[in-house]
Amino acid sequence: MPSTSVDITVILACRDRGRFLHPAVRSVADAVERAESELGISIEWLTVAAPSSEATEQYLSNHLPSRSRRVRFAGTDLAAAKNQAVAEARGRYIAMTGGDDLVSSNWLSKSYELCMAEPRAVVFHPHAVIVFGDTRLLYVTPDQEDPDLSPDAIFARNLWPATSVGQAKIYRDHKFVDADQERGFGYSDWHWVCETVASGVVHRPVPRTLSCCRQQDTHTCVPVPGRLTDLLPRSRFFQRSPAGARVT
Amino acid sequence: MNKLLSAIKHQRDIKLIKDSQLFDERYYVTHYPAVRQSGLSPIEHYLKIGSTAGMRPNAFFDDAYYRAANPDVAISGVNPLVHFIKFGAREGRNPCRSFNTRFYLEKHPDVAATGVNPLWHFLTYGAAEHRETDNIRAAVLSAESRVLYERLAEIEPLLPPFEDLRYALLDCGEKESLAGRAYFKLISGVTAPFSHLFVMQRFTLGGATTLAMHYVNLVREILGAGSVMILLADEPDQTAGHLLPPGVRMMAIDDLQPGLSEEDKIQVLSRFIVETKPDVVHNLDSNVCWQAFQRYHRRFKPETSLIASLYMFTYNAAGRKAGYATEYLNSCIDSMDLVLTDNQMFKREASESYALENHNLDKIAVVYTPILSRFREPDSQAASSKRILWSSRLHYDKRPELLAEIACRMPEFVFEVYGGSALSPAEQAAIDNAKNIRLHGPYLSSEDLPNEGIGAYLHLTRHEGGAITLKEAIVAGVPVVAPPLGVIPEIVNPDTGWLVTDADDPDAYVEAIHDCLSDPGERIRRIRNAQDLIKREHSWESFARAVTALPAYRLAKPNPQASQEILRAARSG
Repeated sequence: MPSTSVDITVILACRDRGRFLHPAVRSVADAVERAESELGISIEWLTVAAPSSEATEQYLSNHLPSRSRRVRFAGTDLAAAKNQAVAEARGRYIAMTGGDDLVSSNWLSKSYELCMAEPRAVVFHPHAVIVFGDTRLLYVTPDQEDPDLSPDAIFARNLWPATSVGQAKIYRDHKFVDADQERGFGYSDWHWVCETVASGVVHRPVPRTLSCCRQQDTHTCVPVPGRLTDLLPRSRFFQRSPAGARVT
Repeated sequence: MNKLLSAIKHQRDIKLIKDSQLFDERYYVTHYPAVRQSGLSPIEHYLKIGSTAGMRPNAFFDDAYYRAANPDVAISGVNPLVHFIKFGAREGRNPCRSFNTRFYLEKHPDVAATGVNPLWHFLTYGAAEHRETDNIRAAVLSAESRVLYERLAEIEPLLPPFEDLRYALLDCGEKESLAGRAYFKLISGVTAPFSHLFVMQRFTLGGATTLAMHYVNLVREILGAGSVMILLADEPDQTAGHLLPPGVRMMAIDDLQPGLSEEDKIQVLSRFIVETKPDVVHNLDSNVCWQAFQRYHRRFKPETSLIASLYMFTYNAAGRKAGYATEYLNSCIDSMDLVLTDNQMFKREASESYALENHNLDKIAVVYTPILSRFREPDSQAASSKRILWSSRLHYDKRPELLAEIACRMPEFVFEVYGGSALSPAEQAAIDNAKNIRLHGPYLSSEDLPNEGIGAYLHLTRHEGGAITLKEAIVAGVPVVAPPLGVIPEIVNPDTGWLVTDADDPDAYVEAIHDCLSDPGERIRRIRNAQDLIKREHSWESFARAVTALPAYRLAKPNPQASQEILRAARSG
């Protein structure tokens, strides 16, 4: 049984990016340091990579801050790697982010404050996501409690980025499923959102927080609408009318 | 007096709203399909019912929000849109949460300069120009954000300058999905599991629906009506609704939610297959289903058998192969479990066209379409008759120009033509000019066609599949004259009818008809032989045997008693 003496566990879940993980690592280090100094909370930082080539191993061995613990994972499935990190997490809350993302230094502290004030099962996401690289896009994370937002909108696209913070129980109760098949388009995160929404978890933005996401040809953190190359696996979300969906 | 004043005010409001162009009729009927059944025009429905029920006149006007944000409007009882048009826009009131009137005019001074209603400008031009409707960009790119961002830019110098974010595309995400709404209506309508999902283009009279109902009836006979679900994926037309067997569920995606694109329908169907996991999805002429098979087959298997019916290669006006067989067979067969056809010629042509490997060729199964009509005695006196029967949909594919030429060469004969017309004006004129072609219009069943006093049945076609009308003519006791296309050479030969070797030569048909009528004894002999062949190879029993023997169709042996009941019902219906 994991100890709850840790307030929050940050999980940095990386694809095989070698030294290009460095910006993500540095931004997480900033956020951890700021949250500790501002809030005086106890933070555990886990890093897991899948798949992990020699380049990634070399980078993590030489440059991952010593305060981050590596979660040993031999597989190639990032969803399973995240689940393993969640299983090893000791924090009451979990903060999940990825190796293609940069988070603003206030991300962890602001998210933690909202989590502490929120008794319900809520997952918080950065308010603004700046997509850079091949495309420049400013994506504003919606609030599931916005009365204009219909749950049926999740049918067409993922509305929330993979970077998230919430009660550890939410992550333990909802495993990530390898849904990316041959190409990653954030389907695994989308499926996770579907599963959590189906069980009543609410997704909300954290005002005045940012994350930046490098768009690469095989991965986007914010799925853009359009023709879908693949389908999500089955989800409880699709097996009944979502609460509030206008189905009449 | 009050009623009169109210009626005048109502008419004024309608005119005001119409003139404002802020009522999006397409949006209204798409989002609230029940309006069509109300007997009111959409705008009247909105004023009388919709506004107070929370229905929006366009995507960016929220009546409930407007009343809540403006208590003076709520108290006055005036329609919120009417108020916004007359006063609200000028007073800077917001039509919904995500449209800030003052912000829009300040951010876009060119709009303010024109003096037009800002919401009208946004709906007409601004949305397409990606104009922002509220200060959300400013809210997320505050001075505090800049400090945070600059630190991230130190870490990752490839981040664009903060100032550039003012011009980056803003995406707030769609707040609803019509496809999602359709899907949830569909899944909500499924109250019990089913094993066989039939996906059809539409449900109209014709060979495709007839054939589909044979498969539906077979599954119903063996597994029960509850095991079957029919989904009309491409079009909502259900004019052949009387052919739907009792107890079988049928839904049309377009009826669930109007206004869907083909892509939306592909997503709805694909999600439905993934979530319901039927044993079999049988595609009968649905392009939406072919697209779903082509794109997402990996997600459907192995739980679900992917099956499609294909009958022939069709040709377009330029003489090039076209149609589903050309478009999808080669690209999909690797992921298909079974392709059902009704003639050996199609299988041979597919094999030759695509150099199919043995394991893929084995997936193409020839199952003859059963003929359920009553067998009738040939009319032995009809050899001297001057009446020739022709029955099918009058369409370019059925060679109306050839029919007119043959009729012209046989002025002493009358051609009794049964079937609805889908001809172009020029094609129709050619038929109308032939004085000995008598048009009878559409028919519901082969039982409606004459057989007594008919000398022969003439079958004309550009390409052929199962030749259902030809087989029905044989069952009705009429000799057939037909070209060697599709399944026809498997039925018509010198022992069973008159096969015309040159399908394009009108004289060859004329000669065959004369030959058929020249020897009454031979005419009767060939009809009887043809009827024997149909009884042997094109009966319900042979159809049921063939389909149940296909493991991919996931059926057990047919129930003989139920089979008889279905036969009786089909014959009486």
